Amino acid sequence: MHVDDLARSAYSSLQRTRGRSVLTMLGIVIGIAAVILALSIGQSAQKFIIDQISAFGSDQLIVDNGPRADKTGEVSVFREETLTLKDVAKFKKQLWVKAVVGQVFQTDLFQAEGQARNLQVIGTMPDDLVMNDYTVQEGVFFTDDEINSHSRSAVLGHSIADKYFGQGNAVGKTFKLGTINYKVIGVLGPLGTKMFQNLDEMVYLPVTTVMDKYNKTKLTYMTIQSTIPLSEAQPLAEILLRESHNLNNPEGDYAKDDFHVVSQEEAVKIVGQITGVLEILLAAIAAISLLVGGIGIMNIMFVSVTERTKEIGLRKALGARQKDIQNQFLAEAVMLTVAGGAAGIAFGAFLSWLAIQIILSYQSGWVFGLSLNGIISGFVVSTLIGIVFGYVPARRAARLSPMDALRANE
Amino acid sequence: MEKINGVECKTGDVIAVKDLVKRYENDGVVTPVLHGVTFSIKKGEFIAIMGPSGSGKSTLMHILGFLDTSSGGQYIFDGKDVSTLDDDALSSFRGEKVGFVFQAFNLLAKATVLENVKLPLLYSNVPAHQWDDMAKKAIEAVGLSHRINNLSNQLSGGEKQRVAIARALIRNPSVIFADEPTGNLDSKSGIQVMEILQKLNLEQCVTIILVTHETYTAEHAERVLRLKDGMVVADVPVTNRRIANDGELLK
Repeated sequence: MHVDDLARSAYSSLQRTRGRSVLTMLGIVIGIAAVILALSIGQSAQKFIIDQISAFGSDQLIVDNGPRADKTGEVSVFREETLTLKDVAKFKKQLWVKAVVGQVFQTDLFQAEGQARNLQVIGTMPDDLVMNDYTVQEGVFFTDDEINSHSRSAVLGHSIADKYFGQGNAVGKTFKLGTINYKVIGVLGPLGTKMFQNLDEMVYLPVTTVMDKYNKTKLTYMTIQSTIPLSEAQPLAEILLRESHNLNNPEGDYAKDDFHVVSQEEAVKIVGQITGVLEILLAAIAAISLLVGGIGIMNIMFVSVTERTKEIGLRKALGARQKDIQNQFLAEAVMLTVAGGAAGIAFGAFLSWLAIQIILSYQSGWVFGLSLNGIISGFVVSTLIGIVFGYVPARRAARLSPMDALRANE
Repeated sequence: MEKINGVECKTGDVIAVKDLVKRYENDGVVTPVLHGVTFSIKKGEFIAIMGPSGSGKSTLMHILGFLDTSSGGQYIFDGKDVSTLDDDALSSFRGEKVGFVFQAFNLLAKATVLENVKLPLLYSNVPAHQWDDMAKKAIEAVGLSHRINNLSNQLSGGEKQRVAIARALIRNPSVIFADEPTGNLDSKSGIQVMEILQKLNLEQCVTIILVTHETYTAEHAERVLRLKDGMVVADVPVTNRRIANDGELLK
């Protein structure tokens, strides 16, 4: 029996019970669509996160408060802050350091021109501009003078400036954070998002000014731009910080540190691991629905075998071998699952696209992408489901005695 | 020696069984059905197997038609001992050597006449492009060319049985087994079916083995084998053979 004859024969058998075939397929359609959706959203999320992290230059080290979470095993959301301006000053003196920025993040009520809104306030340093290639659209960025004098001079993200003061009108205007007035000296060009923060909707102030206002002595984090490879810069930074924080840790045990240094590359790797696990988890949940779909296929194939016992007997009487009968029922099962798989891939692709459109209305930077692996595994998995769940019913059909089968339902 | 269409007919045995035994075993209970049956059928012969229900005539037909195997004895088909063939070999014998016509027709309900007749070719080595032509020829032979694209459940009983005969014919079997072929038919359709079977037998030297419990139907054969309680109790020629044709009904 040729493959095309087999396919044609299976197709016409399925055609004869079209309604039931479609319903059976639905289980596989939903299962495969769920897998495609999970993989696709997982990948989009991973790409989004990595893009955000990659916005940090590849020659930059990030210094964060607290020991490395992956070394201590603690999830330290409320880590003790230990980084200071003194640390920043020490880095500035190093020959391998091209630029260093210490930053403090706060949220506060921004009031201007009779309107008010909660905004992210970032206390930063002039090097921020150099390090990240920010452009100043209007006015100027603050300098070391403003840092030293704890000046109330502010630079605004461009969408904030446009929204509150009108395009090209912000410089020279004032706004309030709480009860204190600040003067706008500059507006940044469009920057987009970085580390999940919309840089265009931020208020930039000298780090010293922010620390004064919020009674802070510690930094949220530091960024260091290196002139030497990061693999060499990272241990130097760690030694310097241990010395600065008076830590006795000559063996370099990360658990004993009160800070941690990560490179962009390393951060990407960690995120990749996390989203990878997430993706597997999502796919595993989706796989359960496939299992249910597969059991549905098996169930219907059993019904089909019972219902068509006489037909099986007839086919055997006409010369069909056990293998022919088995292949026919397997072909029917595989045809159902592959067709279901193809529909599921299309449906899953549509759902993924729709999900990205919905996410995009809340957060920019997401990209719709279909994983080729997802599509291939969708086809492979649906074929396998057909074979695995079709096998037992097909075997049962093949083993029927032709005579008993012919006498069925009499 | 007779010659039909250049084919030598009735020259030798197509079927020979010797001491054929069949027992069914179910949960340790053994039910004997055939107790040592011995006879032979010549190539091109038209034979009726008769007997009351439980006589073993259906079982005998199933064994002769390779649908079942015997529990003992010898079965020679076309000079070949087929008593101990495996499942696949039995399948190819069923496909190539014999054709079946059943009382209940056994057509695929939602398939056309053409599709039904082509079905045996699915299990043959005949290339697919020849299937339609072969099927059309077989359908023509049973006089149903005008119904070729009808679904089988749109046909009358007589037409259904003719489709079944066309299906049995398509691979040119040497033997056709007809198991109560007129049992579900009115007398007119029954005669038409018998006419086709007799024609096949006479014109193409196809051996016909007719299983029936009706004497009237059996009289269309040349010879009657009577079974009772799993044994052959009579093996006699039909003295006043009926020839099926349209006039027969008028008698």
